[in-house]
Amino acid sequence: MSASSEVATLELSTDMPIKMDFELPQGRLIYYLAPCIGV
Amino acid sequence: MFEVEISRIDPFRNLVKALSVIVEEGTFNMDEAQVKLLAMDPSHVAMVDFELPREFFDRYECGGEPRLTINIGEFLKFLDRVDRDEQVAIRLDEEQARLVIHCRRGGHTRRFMMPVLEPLDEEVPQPKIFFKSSARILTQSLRRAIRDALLVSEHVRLEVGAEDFKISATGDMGSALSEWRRDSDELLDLKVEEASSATFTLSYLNDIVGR
Repeated sequence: MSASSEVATLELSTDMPIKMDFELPQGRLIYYLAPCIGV
Repeated sequence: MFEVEISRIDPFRNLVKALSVIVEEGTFNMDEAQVKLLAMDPSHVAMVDFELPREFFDRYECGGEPRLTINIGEFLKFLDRVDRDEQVAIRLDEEQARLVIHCRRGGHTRRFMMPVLEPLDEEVPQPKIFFKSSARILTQSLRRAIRDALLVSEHVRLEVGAEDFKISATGDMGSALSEWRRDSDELLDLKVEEASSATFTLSYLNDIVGR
């Protein structure tokens, strides 16, 4: 991802999946990642 | 039919690489306006939602709404063979179930073909999550904090508070903490309806933010 995006927006709620939106000059690249519970 | 041309391979290759860290086999959906991919990793821990508009390409031709299922890692291997000064055409050959990558420079051409796979049955739903906080941050700052955390743990905690954003990790070998106050130059925006925190597997985050 490093070469494609200079800014990312991370959205959180407690113990919920995170949304990571990597800003692109054109298009959309968003990742969701499930949390580890009980770590 | 589906065919695109690209004169600068690096931006496209970087995006495919970004997909390959999560997705092994993915189904792209194409239409007149864009290429889309919504896919999960094999263990269903991570998901990627990707769209690339036709304007990204030097030429974009799409008839109907074809689907293209390929092994993303294998696709990336072919793209890695493309030189920066080559003009690239990528075409879906539906009759032969092949993806054709055609490279051209001056009077020399190269052609790669890779198999198109059967479309995946898996229907990936768009996540519906109501987020309580957000942090807009420089990607390089995020990457640095993730790498710091890797020194000490396999997990990392992200916390958004009213006035700051923290990334921390603790393990037997010590701890690592990155903290950005609201006025940090690296933290471009901070929105907090409710303080939020969660812990994630570092290897996934490290793959996502890039090495």
